[in-house]
Amino acid sequence: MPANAVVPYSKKIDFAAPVAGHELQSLGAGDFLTGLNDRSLDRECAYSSIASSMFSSVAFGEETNSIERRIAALKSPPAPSSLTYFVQDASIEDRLFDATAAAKILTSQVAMHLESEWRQKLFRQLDSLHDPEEWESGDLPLQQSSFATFLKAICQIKPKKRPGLGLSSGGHLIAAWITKRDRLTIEFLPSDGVRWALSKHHDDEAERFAGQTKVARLVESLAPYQPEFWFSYEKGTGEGSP
Amino acid sequence: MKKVPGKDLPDSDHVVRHVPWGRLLRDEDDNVVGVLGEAFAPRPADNSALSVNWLEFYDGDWKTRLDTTVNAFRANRKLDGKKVGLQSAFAIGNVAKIKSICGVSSRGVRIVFAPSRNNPSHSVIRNIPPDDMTLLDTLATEGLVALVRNSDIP
Repeated sequence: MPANAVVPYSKKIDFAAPVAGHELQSLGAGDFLTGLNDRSLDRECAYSSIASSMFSSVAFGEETNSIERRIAALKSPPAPSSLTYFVQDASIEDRLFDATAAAKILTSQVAMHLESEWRQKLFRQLDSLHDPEEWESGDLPLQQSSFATFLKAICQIKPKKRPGLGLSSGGHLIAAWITKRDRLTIEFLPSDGVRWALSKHHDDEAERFAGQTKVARLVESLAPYQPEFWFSYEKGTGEGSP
Repeated sequence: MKKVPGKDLPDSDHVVRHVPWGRLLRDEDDNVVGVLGEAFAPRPADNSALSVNWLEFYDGDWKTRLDTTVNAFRANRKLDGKKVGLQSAFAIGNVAKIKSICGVSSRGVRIVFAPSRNNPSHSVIRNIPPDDMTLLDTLATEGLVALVRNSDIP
């Protein structure tokens, strides 16, 4: 596939329907056509190819106001079924793969807001959370509605310090920022909801605060608690400071 | 102490909670540094009850008890066709401390012995509020006396 393949922004990929060969060809991913119906490595290549095509289009052909359009699109993320390409009775491995692939494709829509290294690390963290060897039976994979909320939060907060990630049993992404004994935990809910809890130690005593709001108000709700303490690598931050 | 089903565990004893990989607190480089509060949130279907294992159900020193508890847990999981991830961990907490933390939320938490045939040390923490993030975070920090990785237990 040419590295500079340009895909029209209007081109939507509906993974719920079988992808015709000519459509994949136009994305430059024709070599991976057969992989979509196989539980094989070709499936991963197909997703990677498509994600790369979307990113390439962002890098080379998008108007600047598409940034706002893409952020706005996250407010109405595609239904999970349209981002998941699998047949009935998919194995857990396929469900986990589909969940992470869909998240990566969603990330590509706001790729310009995330440094490449940040993005790659995020993908590794998502893969780690969905490792089939570590998967807890009964848990739900990452819900796309939760991940969309996470992306909006990250685009707003623009943290210099990356969080550790976790996953609730219901498939909600959890981000945690840690400084020595202090921690800020944010759970990203569907429909732009966020729940957060933090603890900071002063003279060996922990002070705890919590809140629940919409992602658009997250920055404001954390303002009284020195967000720079959590989201930056400033010197001097830590127990009982600044 | 007599091990009677339905009885509260002694305050001086401990409970062991399995923490899957996804509920471990990690830093940005995926190094494990603790436990997320979510690890102590009951699933919606569990009616505010959290499954744990009673450490002192078994005899022996601390290590022997923990090894026996974990191996019994693994065996029970295997019977259910489930695996225990190598990267997962076991969080150990003191009964009195857990009750003290939960007591702040005035929910009347109880930790009772609830064995099953294939899980003889099984116990339950009842009335854990699933949505109280502050409480769950406190349990994950102040409620623990130890965190042991599954890979470290033979």
